[in-house]
Amino acid sequence: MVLQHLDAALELVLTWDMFVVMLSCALFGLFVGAVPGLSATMATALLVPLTFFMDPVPAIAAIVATAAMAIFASDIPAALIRIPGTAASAAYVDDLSALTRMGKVGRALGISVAASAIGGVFGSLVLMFAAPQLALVSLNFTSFEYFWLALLGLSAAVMLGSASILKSLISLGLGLMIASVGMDTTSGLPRFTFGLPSLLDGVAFVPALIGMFAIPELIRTFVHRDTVPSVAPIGNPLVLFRGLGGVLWRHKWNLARSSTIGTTIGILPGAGSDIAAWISYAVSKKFSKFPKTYGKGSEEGLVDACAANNSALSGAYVPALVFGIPGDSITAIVIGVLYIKGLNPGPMVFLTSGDKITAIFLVFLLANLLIVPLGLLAVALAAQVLRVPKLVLAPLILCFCIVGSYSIDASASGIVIMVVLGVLAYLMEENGFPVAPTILGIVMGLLVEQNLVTSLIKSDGSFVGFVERPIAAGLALVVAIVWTVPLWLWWRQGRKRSEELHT
Amino acid sequence: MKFHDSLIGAILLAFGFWVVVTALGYPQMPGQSIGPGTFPSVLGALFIAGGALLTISGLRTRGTTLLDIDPGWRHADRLAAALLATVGAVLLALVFESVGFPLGGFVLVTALFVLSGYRHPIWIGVSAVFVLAVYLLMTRLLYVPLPAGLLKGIL
Repeated sequence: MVLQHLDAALELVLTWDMFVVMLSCALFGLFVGAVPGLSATMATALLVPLTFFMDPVPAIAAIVATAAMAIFASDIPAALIRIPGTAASAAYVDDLSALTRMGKVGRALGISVAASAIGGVFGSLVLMFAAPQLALVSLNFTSFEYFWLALLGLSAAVMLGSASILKSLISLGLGLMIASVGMDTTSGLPRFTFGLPSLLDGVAFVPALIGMFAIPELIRTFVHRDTVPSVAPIGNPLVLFRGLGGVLWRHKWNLARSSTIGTTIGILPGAGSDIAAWISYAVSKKFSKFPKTYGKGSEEGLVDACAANNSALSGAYVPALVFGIPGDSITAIVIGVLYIKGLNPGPMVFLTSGDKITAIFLVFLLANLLIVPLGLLAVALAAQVLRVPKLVLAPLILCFCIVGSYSIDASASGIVIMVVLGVLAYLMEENGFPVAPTILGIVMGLLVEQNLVTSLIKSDGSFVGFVERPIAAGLALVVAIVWTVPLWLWWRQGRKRSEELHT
Repeated sequence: MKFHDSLIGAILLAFGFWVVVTALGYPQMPGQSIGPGTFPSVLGALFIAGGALLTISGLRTRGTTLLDIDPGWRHADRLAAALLATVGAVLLALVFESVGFPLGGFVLVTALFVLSGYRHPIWIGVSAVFVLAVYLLMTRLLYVPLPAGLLKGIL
């Protein structure tokens, strides 16, 4: 499919408009990623209102470029002031920081730039060739398979996250509950609208997203006022590439392994780059000849985790484009944008809009290749960016949040939704409830409910129909494994601990 | 701002019951055993079960307070900034059409600067230029109909 639509896709991608969009969004992503405490997801959420005014391909290009750059740039504060910008960079923050203390900050960030780019390109290539094949298979899927797939995505978000399973499950329930507000699509009955006409169409996705990612950060900035430690000097950014070729060649198998792990984890619905980085780092340590150097400036560990981090980002787009099931919070945002643009994700989009989908694949390659030149720029400007106090940016970000929430349908109700859900997200995070499952719940609520109701009608209310078809049964089995294995491991650990206490 | 797990559990329990009762009140689809209330009922049951488990596990944890407030909330200026960013934004939403974004946004951003400790007059200029730039970008370049409100004749 890729080769068939390559010419048309190149025409869509190789334009000055696309160049300006990708470059400016990449710079925006670099800035947000390099400011400690501002996340790639928040950058993406703030960008969504602007994408309304773009064609589908530039809109997705804007998000991809922003996210890829912000995730890479979050390694900069991790190296310079030991503050991980994302949950993924927390996996290797000690190594980045230790290399900086050894005077090897250029080497540390050089590995981060190169490994991120290589991992990202690898993930993009897998996306280009695996997604269309998977789409062909999924043409035979019915509501039963889609129900199980959606449930698999939601289950993975709950079971594979780092928070408590119970709290993740409740967070997911809240997201699904928010998604069920508004007119029921099957019967047309208003549900949980409290008589408010503005809620008849449901809770607007964009204000919800902006609120849940930006408002908690802003409240924390205003209230906690964390001070940023002083910045270590970087010097000439070109030192990034000194001796880098040798390091990458020495660890070529690590690059291949971690890119594969990252992409595979990214493809799993609900599991994103943070899990990929942590698992890849753990695998790297397990098979390394020098496991004791991990956490103390290991270049090997850094190569593995950085490559996995960005390859997972591309991998997450496979379930997003083929099934409309997000791989992580950023792809959840992308799915929302695709729906708004009329490019509804699913197997049919590969047949009806092959040129646009191929153009999106090319955008992935470009965005990941852009990491190298812009990474240099980011490192050169990092010291200045890190000196900007977050407290100065907070009122300006709030201003963007208000404008973004209003612009979705020119209604002030969007601002209210943003604030209410933002405060809820702040309270959730403060009390150990992760926000990502809630976002997945909001995005996938309709998909889960529609496929559940359709399947129940088809099977006359019997649950046997849900496992009669072979693929549906296979997916049901995977869901069962996702639920039982972590619970079994948790139970076994608890038993071991109590046995140790008794002896 | 950390609440005790048992308190969160109790709130979830009450919320779950409300969801179930409301959802069961929705009519079923003709000739079907399901309806618009089916899915929310399942969610309500999830909140009831989750709330109960959280309450029990919270009650087992001893020595923690019902509400643990971060020291930052005890500073009047920080509390005021957080309230302004949230309640202030909602109030702005209520008068968004009449007051308009340029004036409302300027007042909100300037007040937040003041409460954050940036009291030099230059910050008034920064908020004015920033809000105006955002307004012009959105209305002239992206055609978002941000209301000019009280400044309608000027902008």
